[in-house]
Amino acid sequence: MLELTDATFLYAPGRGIDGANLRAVSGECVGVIGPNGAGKSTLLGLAAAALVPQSGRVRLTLTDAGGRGRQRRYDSDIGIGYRRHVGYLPERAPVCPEMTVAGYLRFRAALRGESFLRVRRRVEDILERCALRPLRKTRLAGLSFGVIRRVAVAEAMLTHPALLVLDDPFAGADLAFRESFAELLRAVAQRSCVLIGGHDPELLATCCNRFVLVERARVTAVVDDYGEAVGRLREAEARPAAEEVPAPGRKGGRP
Amino acid sequence: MMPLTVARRDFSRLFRSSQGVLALFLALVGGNGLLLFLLRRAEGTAESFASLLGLTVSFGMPLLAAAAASRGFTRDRESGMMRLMFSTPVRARTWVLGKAFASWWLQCLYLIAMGVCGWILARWGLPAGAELPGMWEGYLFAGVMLVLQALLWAGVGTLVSLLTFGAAAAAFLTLLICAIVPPCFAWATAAVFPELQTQWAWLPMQEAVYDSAGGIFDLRLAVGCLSFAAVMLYAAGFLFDALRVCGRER
Repeated sequence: MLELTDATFLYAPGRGIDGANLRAVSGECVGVIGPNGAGKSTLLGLAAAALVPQSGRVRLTLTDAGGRGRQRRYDSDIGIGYRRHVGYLPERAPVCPEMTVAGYLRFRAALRGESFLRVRRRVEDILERCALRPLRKTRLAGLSFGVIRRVAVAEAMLTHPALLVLDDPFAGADLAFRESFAELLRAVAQRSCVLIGGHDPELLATCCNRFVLVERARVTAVVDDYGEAVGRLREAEARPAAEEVPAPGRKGGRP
Repeated sequence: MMPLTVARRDFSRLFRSSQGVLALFLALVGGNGLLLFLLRRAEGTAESFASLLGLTVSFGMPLLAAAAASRGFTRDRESGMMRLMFSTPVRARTWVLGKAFASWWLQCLYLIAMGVCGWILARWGLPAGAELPGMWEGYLFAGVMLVLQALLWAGVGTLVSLLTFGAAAAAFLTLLICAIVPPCFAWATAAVFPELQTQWAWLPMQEAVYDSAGGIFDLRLAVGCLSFAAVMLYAAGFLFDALRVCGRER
């Protein structure tokens, strides 16, 4: 279970995320929506432990697979335990252009602590699932933006993380991949907790069952209904910049 | 093992990049030119070949460290890789050691290449039956001193690449530090502890290699190189963590 408690990370007053409260359990796919510059990427960065909260807490609670019910808790700002269970696709989808697709994925799997024998199996599996097998020996420098992004998505899902954080994963994806990717995400979300950021709620609705609305550095609403999410997003986009946004989890916001 | 994984990838990137290859080529051409010049000048004197070769190599190493610095963390920052690095379950010291090892390997490669070139030059340039003055201990001592210096330059380059926001700035600053800090340090030491160091050396690192090849191995400088390299790498690891906490990387 992912738990953000009053998590704050501000680049400047009103820029970043302020006092975010969010709880997402395994088997849930949460869409993070909001206007440009609202703080979605910061929220996702906090959840992925790429950013350390200035105040508040980001915690991941995992239950042992053995069924004994023993729980392990990891805080994002302490050690690397938290990061072992996170797959992250940043907004810019960075990759090493001089490496081949398979080489890059092998390198990332090794960095994630996979054993030498398991790396190959993991890479072959994800290449198949993300329809990248024909490109496995192609250098990343020669690929289009959409395919590079697909490689970055594959990298995020490489080690079957308990928490998958994807920042705008549908950007640059063609129609065929969007459909198969949404299906893949639904399958992943059955055993992991997935957080997806994006601007198009219609696309997110194909795989998400809950939506978090971020507005001017605050989480202002958490809704289950797609229609309501769209309505609130339209309102947020139409709202003038000077209008006050209620504090999250205190007035109006549902943590 | 994890630092080696990072180092292998970084060395491969560095070696295939235009900066890496160009720096290596320039260092080799310049080094061999300087070696030829020194050999001609030393004709008829008792200067050993190991001294001249070591001296030549020690001038080229900072250039390669600068090239590596321009590709290290600076390149990752430019490509937006830093955020992904922060969320990867890898400790800061692993990233830092990996980058430093890549730079160190490049400099060691240069050392080996210069050794091979020097051997070819000596074989080709000498009349049949002639021998160059020099002992095998000289080559060994100079080699050890150069390898330790390379580690120090690699540490400096890694720290600088974390501090700067552009490839050119990283390369320039690394070169500047490699050129200015050692004589300044030698001057300060000579001023504060005149009984330890009686002479202010303009090129202390290069002179140490020259002396090592002659059989005078400066243990203090060798330990100093190792210690400063450790300090640089520790500082770089600390800075990497600090950058994650500050969250200035996009």
